[in-house]
Amino acid sequence: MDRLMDINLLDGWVPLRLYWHEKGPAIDWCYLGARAFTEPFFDQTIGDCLRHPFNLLFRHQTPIEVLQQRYEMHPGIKPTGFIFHMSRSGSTLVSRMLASLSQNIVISEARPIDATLQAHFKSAEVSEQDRIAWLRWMVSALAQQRLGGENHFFIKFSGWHVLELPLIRKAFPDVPWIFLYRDPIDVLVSEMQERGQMIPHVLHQSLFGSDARLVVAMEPEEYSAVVLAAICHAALSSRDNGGLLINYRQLPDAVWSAISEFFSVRWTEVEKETMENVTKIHSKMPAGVFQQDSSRKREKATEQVREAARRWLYPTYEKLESARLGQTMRSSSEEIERPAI
Amino acid sequence: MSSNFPELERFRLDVLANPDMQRTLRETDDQERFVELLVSLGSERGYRFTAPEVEEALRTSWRSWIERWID
Repeated sequence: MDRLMDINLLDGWVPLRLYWHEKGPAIDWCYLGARAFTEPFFDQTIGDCLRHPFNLLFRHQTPIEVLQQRYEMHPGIKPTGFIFHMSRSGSTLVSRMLASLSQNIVISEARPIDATLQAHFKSAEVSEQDRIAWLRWMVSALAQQRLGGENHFFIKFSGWHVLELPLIRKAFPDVPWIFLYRDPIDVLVSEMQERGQMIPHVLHQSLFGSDARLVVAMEPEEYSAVVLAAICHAALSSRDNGGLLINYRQLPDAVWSAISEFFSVRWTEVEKETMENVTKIHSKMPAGVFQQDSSRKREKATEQVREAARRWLYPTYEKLESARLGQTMRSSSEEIERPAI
Repeated sequence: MSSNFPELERFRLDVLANPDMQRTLRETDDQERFVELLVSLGSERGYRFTAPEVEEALRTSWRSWIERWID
C-alpha cells in the first residue's frame, strides 16, 4: 500500500476497484494511458487492458485519500450528463452512440462507482458524507482526458443506481440526468432471457425496501418486476430534480435531439452521422444490427411475465409516461406514492 | 501486491516509481518478450530473479484478478 507517493505517478492510471484493506478503504489502479473507454462496458475496457502483461504485474494500490489528492490537483472534466435506466431499455445504445465521438468520455456501469455507492454495506463506519465525497473523487479520476480533445463526460450508471439518485444529486447537484425506460413486458422478457441484477441477493435487499422472506418466496418474474418497479419509482420521484424521462421508443433520434438538448451539447451533421452509424450495430453484440424488437419480445412473454408486469410495473410505467408527456409543461411536482411490496 | 519472490517484488516497486521503466515495459504485449525484458531490466539494476519466477507471478496475479473480479 503506497501512502506517500508522488500522485503524478498516477497520470494515465484509472481506479478500477475500491476495496477494504486492513488499514481502511483502498484503491487498485490500472494503467490505461491514451486508451479510450470504447467498449460497451467499463469492465470490458479494463478486462482488455489486463490482457497486457504489464497491467497484470504492475498496479498501484493506494489509500482512498490519494483519490482526494488527485481530485484536488487533477479534477478532470465536469460531468456533462448522467444516464440512468430501467435496464434493457436502450441505455447501452445511448452510451455507445456518445462514445463513438472522440470528444466524449463515456463511462458505462463502472465497478468502482458501484462499489462507492455500496460502501456503507461493506462498512457501517462509512457515512453519507463519505460516500458523497468518495463519489466526487472517483468520478473525477474517471473524468481525465486521455486523447487530449475530450470536452464532454457522460456516465451511464447501473440500473439500481437510480435508487441512490438523492445522494448522487448531493454530490453533483448541477449535472442533468436522464432516465430511460421501456414497456415492462419487453424489459421482463429480456431480463428472463439473460438475468443480470435481478437475481435475489445480487443487490442488497434494503435498497428495495423489501422483506427478504417475501423475496425468497417470489418467482423470478415477480422478483424482477419488484426490483424494476423500485427503480422506476425512484426515477419518477426525482424527476423534478434535474431529470428528463426518455422512453425507449424515442431512440435513437432522442440522442441527438431531446437528450443532447437537455445536456446542452450540440453536434455537427458529421458527428450525428457517426452516432447514427452505431445504431447499425447491436449495442451488446457487435455482430448484430440494432432494431426496435418490442413486438418480438411481446410474443415471447409468458403468462407469469404478463401478470408480474401488470401487478408491479404498469402502474408506475403509466405514471412515467404521463410525466414524460407532461414534462415540458409541468410546473410543480406531485407526491408520488410508492407501490407497497 | 505481495510476492513469493522478494527480489522481483522489490524491482516491481522500483518500476512503479519509475515512469521511464514503465514505458519500456509497456512496449510489448507479448508475454514471452515481456518476461525477457523484465528479467533483463532487473538484472541491469542488480535485481536477481528468473523468468519462471516472473511467469509464476503473472499466473498468480491473473488468478487474484479473477477472484477479485467475481468478489
